[in-house]
Order: sequence, then C-alpha cells, then structure tokens
Amino acid sequence: MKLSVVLFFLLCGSLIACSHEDGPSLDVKNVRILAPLPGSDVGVAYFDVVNNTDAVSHLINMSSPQYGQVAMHETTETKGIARMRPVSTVPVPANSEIKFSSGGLHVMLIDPLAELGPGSQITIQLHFEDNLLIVSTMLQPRRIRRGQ
Amino acid sequence: MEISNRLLVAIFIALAILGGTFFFSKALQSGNSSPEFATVWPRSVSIPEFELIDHDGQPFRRENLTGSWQLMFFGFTHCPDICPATLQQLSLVQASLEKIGQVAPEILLVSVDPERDTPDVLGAYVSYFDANIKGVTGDLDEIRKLTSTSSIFSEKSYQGNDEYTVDHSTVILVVNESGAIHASFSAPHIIGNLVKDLPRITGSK
Repeated sequence: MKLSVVLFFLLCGSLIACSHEDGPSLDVKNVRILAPLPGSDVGVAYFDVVNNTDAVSHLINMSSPQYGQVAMHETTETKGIARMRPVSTVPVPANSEIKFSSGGLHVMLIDPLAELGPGSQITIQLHFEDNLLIVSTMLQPRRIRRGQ
Repeated sequence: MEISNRLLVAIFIALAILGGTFFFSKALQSGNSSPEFATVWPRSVSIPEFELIDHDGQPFRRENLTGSWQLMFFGFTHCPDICPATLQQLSLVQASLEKIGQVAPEILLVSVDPERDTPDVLGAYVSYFDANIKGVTGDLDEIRKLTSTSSIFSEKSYQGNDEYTVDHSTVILVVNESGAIHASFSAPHIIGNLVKDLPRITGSK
C-alpha cells in the first residue's frame, strides 16, 4: 500500500516535471509544515505558489495522505479584530505568485490519520483546475523558545 | 570699549550654549519618556472584580493582577495563526527586557474559548511557548467582565459544520501594578517596538 502511494507520487511528479521543458508552469517554494500546538491536532502549512504561465491558475482543493482534511483558510485583521475564514478557490495570477503565510492565506491540516510529530514526513497535494502539484517535507515544531 | 565688546560676545556665547543645552535636554527627555508605538490611555481603567482560574486550576481574581505590570492578550488554543505568533512575540519581548535590566511585565493569555480551553489544555499550550506565561480561563460571563471593561471583542464563528473558530481582538493590554489598564499595543506587534516602549510605560530606567 505504502509502495503504491510512493510510486503514485513519483509518477505524478515526473509527469509534471516532464511536461515543461523550461521549468514548471506551476511551482511551490518555501514550504513549511508546522506541527499542531498542545490542545489541538491541527497543523498548519505555509508556502509560495508560483505561476510561470501567461494565464491565471485556480487552486481549488488540497489533500494529504496523512490528514483527513486539508483546508485553505485566510486570516484577516480589520480594526484590530482577527477573523479566520475558509477559502474555496485561490486564483494564482499569470506570471505571479501567491503566498500562504502567517496572518494571511494558510493551509490547515485537520484530522491526522496517524500519530504525527516533528520529523514526520508530510505530503500535500495541491489540486488546480487543470494541474496537480505535490509537496512533501518534514513536520517542524512551532515554538521559538527564548534564546533561539 | 574693546573689552566690553569681548564681554558681550562671551555673554552671548554663554547664553547660546546654556539655551541650546536646555532645549536639547528637554527634547531628549521628552523623547525618552513618551511611548512611540503604544497608546497610553487618557485615564487608567480599573478592572472590576472577577472569578477565573489559571492554568494550574488556582483561582485567578482581580487581586492577581496587582503588584506587577502585566501584558494581557485575549486568544484561544485552537487559534492557528495570530495567537501562537503573539505569544512567541511576547515571550521574546519579556526575555529582551530582562536581558537589558528593564521591568519585564508578566504575560497573561485570557481565553476567549473557555469551552475548549480547560486549565489542562491551556497549561500545555502556554508552557509550550514559555513557562512564564500564565493562561486564564473560566466561565464566559466572568471573562466578559474583563473583555467589556477593555473593549475586547470576541465572537464564535462556525465554519459550516460543528467546528468553530473565534474572532477576537488582537490588541495587547498593558495592566499596571494597581490592576488598571494603562496602555495598549495594536497589531501588528513588533518586538522591538514593545521593547522600546515598555520601559517608558512602566517607568523603569
């Protein structure tokens, strides 16, 4: 089962990589996936989605083999009040990039399917209307302690 | 005649130096004493009596706010973004102030989601950032006594199912040694700004 999942990801990655001779049309950079905080089992992911094409690309969904639900959210702050709301679609403008970052658009990793902690390998699939990107990295701790 | 001219010039120079020194020292004094980034409230607002519990399960009342300066933030443990960032910033602010020998206010997280934030949950959460942070929770009506006094907003927002988040104010309140709200910092919270202003607010040297 695990081998088939790995092969699937490798195949998808290869297809995406081979379809663009001058670099990928869509790319993901600066990936950080942060472990849940005590009292919560919700992780969070931050990254930049780069669209190298001349057309807007719509990010419509995300999924992960390690989580039951992956949701795009946006935190906004107006007149000193922070609000977080789900986002259904994120348009990535042509030849531009969209940042998923703290205090703005971000990815919520909900319902872990196994016990996960810092160091666990996490994969996120980004579903676009006409494309698929896969990112994979290790879960990082969230805290910055004194002196760090 | 020549002597009196020289005397006049000397007096003029002496007066100019004295005047310049006076204005420079005044400017320096006002620059050192006025917070640049915080809003100092025109009148300190005394916090009314309330009955809450801290993350160790101990009673936390108004009297626990007196005797030392406090930085009070309202948030919740399921907050994925703003609250963790703010707690990390406050922890680093406290560490920086201690390092430079200034008064380092205590840090207080008051939960706006007491339904999920039991003392145990809150304790694990705050100590994850810093053992010096105190979490406070309890009955929502008692929490409202704090939030209404300080114009803190909080409201549940359901996400289309049973899951909810809490919209809340991001302001950091500075509570003085008498248990009154003395000043506040609006977001975005920049560590350096707080470190620069807090000694001016607390009056430490």
